[in-house]
Amino acid sequence: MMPQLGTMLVQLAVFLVLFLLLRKYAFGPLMKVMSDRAEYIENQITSAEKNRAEVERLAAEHKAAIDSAKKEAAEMLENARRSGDKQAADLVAAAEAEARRLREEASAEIKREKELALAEVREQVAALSVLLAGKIIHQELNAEGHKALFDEAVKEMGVRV
Amino acid sequence: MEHLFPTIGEGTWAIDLTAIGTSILAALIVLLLARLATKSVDVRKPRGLQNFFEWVIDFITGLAKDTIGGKRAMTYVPLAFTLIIYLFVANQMGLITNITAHIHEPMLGISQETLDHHDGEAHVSFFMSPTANLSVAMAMSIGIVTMTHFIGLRNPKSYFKHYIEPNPAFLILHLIDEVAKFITLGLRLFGNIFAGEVLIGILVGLPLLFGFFPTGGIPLIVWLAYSMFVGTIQAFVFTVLTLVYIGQKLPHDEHH
Repeated sequence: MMPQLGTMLVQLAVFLVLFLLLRKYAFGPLMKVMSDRAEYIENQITSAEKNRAEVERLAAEHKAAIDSAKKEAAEMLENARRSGDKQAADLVAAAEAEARRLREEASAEIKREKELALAEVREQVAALSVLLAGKIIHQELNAEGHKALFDEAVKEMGVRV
Repeated sequence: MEHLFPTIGEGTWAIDLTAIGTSILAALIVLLLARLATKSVDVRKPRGLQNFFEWVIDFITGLAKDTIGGKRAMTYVPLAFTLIIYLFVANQMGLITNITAHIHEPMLGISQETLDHHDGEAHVSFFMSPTANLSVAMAMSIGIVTMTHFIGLRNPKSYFKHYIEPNPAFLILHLIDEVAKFITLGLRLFGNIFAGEVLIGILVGLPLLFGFFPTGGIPLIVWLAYSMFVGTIQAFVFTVLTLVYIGQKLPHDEHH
């Protein structure tokens, strides 16, 4: 079997045509798709990185906001507690003052009533004494008589006082 | 019995119709596959043949970068891509089927004269791997190796300097090497594929044992599988050597 130049030339022509067609209609589009994909992936990675940085920034921002809100809330709570305590103390103090005042008023009243009662007693004693003296003067009585009179007076005094 | 091939023309300028027909068929199959692969190319969801072709391009790009190196490797990727796919298809064609007809009358490409020369009966081969034809395989190798020389001659200084490196005494070795490339590249491809088909023919032709048991059956399956492997490897080897030869002819500034 000897190589035939005719077959060889036709074969080269066939291969050349195939090469040109494949390069134009298969290789070109496929290479384009592959480079497009590489670019697409590159873009995706870049944007993912960018987004992640953005997310991290936002998270830090949110954390700061939450922290300050917490601090504020704690401060407010503290303030409220303090003012509540103060109010309670004020209330207790006021109640104590009121109680003291009431007690003082009450004791003053008692004192006054007592004075009044004593004054009346004194008045009664005076009146009774006058009455007694009158009776003594009106009735001449013996010692026994005096004694009975005196007892009566004392008994009456006990009833009155 | 020697197989005949329908040919037109005489002597050196004869054209083997079977080889050219199957070669064109192989090219058409490759174009059909490429058409299917690029029918609906998708950047995000490559499917089926597109995946396969992209894998082949990736693979060839890797090979080209290893053997040629640098950015200029991409220039030769389309050629290597065409080579590996075309040779892969061409090498497997003879494994799918071989058609041989017993001819008693002259037909297109078989003259009465040829028929008479073979006692009036000829076994004519109509379908085989185009690469199992010496002319086809040699056409590929001579074409490729010649092309590598033209690529090298774009930088004449480094091209001619290569022949006397590392010493002018190596000139003769380089010349032998260059001449041998034309022959070895083609003969390696032809020999592997041709041998595969010859053995398939022999196994198919074995007589039936006891009149019913196909003696050649199991060895045939094994040999078909092996031939598919060989055909794939030879397509790969031819492509790699093409890239290596191109790389040798380019000025290797990066390596020195």
